[in-house]
Amino acid sequence: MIQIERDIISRCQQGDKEAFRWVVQTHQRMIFSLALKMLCDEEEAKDMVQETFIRVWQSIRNYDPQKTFSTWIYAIASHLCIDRLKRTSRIVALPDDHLVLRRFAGDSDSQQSLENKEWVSIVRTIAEGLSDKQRLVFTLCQLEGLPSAEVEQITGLDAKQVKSNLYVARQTIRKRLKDLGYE
Amino acid sequence: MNKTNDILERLKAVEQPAIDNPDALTDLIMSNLPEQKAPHEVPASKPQAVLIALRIISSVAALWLIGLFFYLQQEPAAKVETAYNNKVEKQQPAPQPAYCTEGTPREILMCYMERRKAQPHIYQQLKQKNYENQ
Repeated sequence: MIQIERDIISRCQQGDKEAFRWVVQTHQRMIFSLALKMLCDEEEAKDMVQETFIRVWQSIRNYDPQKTFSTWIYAIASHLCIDRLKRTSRIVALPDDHLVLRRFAGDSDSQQSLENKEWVSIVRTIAEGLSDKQRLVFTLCQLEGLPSAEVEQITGLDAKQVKSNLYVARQTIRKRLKDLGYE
Repeated sequence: MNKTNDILERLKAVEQPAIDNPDALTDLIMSNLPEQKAPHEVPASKPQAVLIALRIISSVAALWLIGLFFYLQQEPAAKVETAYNNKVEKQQPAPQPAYCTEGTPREILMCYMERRKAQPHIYQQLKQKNYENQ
């Protein structure tokens, strides 16, 4: 952790809201990205970002500086996402979602960019049928590109569980894409 | 590379989702911040005097019961069973019951243990009978 971040966290722990604004501005995009892929709804994702930072603010005095700060925030967001997924109905792909995936898969442009709603359509299509835990591990490892060790810290799972959840998720997605004619 | 891996790798490489109006979201979060919680305080674990007394009493009682158990398990000295002894035993009056009814609880207990000690061991008796019947 760099010194400036340590100082800002220390100020947040003393109740400095201006310091916390920096924390929000720095980390809100990564939390939004995770929440959007987990919940597949832009408004829900924004709501989740807000809930996460309120939780971070409330418990920042319990933050252990030995841990990476972004990992700690990711862990809070992940738990809140899982809680919300348990309360909401199962995420299923809509008919038009397949078209978005087909367009993305058929486009050979390496500099391709996706809008949020396109992200939602693609994730909703490929991750349909995954359990909450598999969805979380898949999102963190595969879509967010985090290393396994960090995913273990975020989810609280051990290396074996992360590996097996990721394997099952990939197999389910492979089968799903095969059914949709992508293999 | 197969199509699934290709799609997943491209998703990792593509630009991640972004908030359409990040400053507005930041302002919204900042305006809704509640009061901070106090850090977790681990309460000093000081057991009450009643609990300590209960622990001591239950430990002493447990030890006393264990001692009593072993004491009651003590076997009397094995008798040498002979045909003569059997005859003599048959002539002797029937043994008293193993329970006592008169006196203080301590006297009843001591009386019970003495009588129980005096009684021949049932297992030894059965073994002897079985041996003699063969």
